[in-house]
Amino acid sequence: MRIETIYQNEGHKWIFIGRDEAETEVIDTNQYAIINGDDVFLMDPGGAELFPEVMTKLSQIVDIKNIKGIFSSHQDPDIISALPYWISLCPDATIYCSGLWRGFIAHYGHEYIANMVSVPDEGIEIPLGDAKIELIPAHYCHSSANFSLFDHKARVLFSGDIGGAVIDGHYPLYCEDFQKHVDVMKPFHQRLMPSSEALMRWVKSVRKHRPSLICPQHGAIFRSEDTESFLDWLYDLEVGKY
Amino acid sequence: MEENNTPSYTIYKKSTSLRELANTIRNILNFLQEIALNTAINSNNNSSSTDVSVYQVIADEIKKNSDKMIEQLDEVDSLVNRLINTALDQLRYNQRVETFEKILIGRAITEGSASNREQVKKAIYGARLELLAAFKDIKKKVTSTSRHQSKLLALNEKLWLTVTSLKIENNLTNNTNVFFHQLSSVLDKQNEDLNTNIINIGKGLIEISEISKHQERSLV
Repeated sequence: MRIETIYQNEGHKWIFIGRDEAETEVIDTNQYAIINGDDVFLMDPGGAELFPEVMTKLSQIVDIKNIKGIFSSHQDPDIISALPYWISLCPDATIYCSGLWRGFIAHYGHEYIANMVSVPDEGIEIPLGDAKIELIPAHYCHSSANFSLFDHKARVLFSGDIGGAVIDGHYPLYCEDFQKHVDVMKPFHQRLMPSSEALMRWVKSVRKHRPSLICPQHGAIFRSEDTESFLDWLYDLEVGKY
Repeated sequence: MEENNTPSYTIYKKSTSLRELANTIRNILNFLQEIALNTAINSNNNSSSTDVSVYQVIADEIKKNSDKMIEQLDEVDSLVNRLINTALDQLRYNQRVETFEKILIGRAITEGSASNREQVKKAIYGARLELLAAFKDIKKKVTSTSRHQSKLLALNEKLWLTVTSLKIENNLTNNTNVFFHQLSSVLDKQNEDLNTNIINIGKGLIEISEISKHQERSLV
């Protein structure tokens, strides 16, 4: 499993952990952490299967006890089933998830429900050191209560399953050929995203932030002009097909 | 759920088998209630007043005892369900302990800071405390379930005694005597099945208790 710094500006960093090269039936996932000074914030920290690898990688660069927040974009097991392990390690961390999924996510470990903040449908802003991160509504993209995360300081967007693609552990970290990557992304979006209207709404709300990086939970990261290409492509995509 | 040979998994499996035994007991008790009803109906069709009285005694005793047994069984059911939940909890805590121990033994964490190793050790300690509490809770639930299991056993014995006494003492007319003996042999069979299943619950509880005690000692 790889660990890479994908953004760095003084004490503010984005870390990527993923691309498990071991052959497995488990879908490949991207885990991200924002580091601001000493504070650490995890986004979709992944499934229980991957926890030992993700945790040991992250522990090489941060003090685990400084994990202040954990964001769960939605309720799926590949997103958050490792939650009980993370909270065992950092019992004071706050878990941010949709109020709709709070009781569902508690099935991964009900004893941690007190750590959970129910994010309202319209989203919230979360201070992290000298930075501000915002949870942006992404409902029905694909989960019915779903959020993306935008880091105003870094202008990096964590898009969750939006922009995702089923790839193997050898796939490039960044999108290298957008048109080729579309072939990989398209079936994922057409099957997993139920609403073209919801995607259009999301693209409109995200576009105004002009993200420099778009980081999905599966597949390749979009940077430079690929971010715009991706948003254009998504805006016109017909989904909810099988 | 992935099968394994850990004591935690054994406790979970044994707890779920208690529920199966309780379900079997409930089926037998429901059958006894049907017998009680049919016997009560039958008693009204008999001309001899002695026969009527014997049948009524049997019907009343079966109904009364099986009602009491169902009450006890409801308690056993509820306790067993809670026992299974605690057994599932201890499986999760055990898995946490194992995962964190593997991380500590594994290569990567040694490259991290000493603080992270400490954090993992704290997580192991925390999960072990949860595990210990779960084993203590299991022991308490086993004790409570055992009380109801003993009452079930006593009620079943009382039912057997009633039928046996009537078998010895009854003064039925020849025609109904044949029917009574058929009925009593059915009751004896149900009684025996109940006994076996109730005793098996007791054995299961003892086994769970022993494993829990052993696990508790190993954690302290």
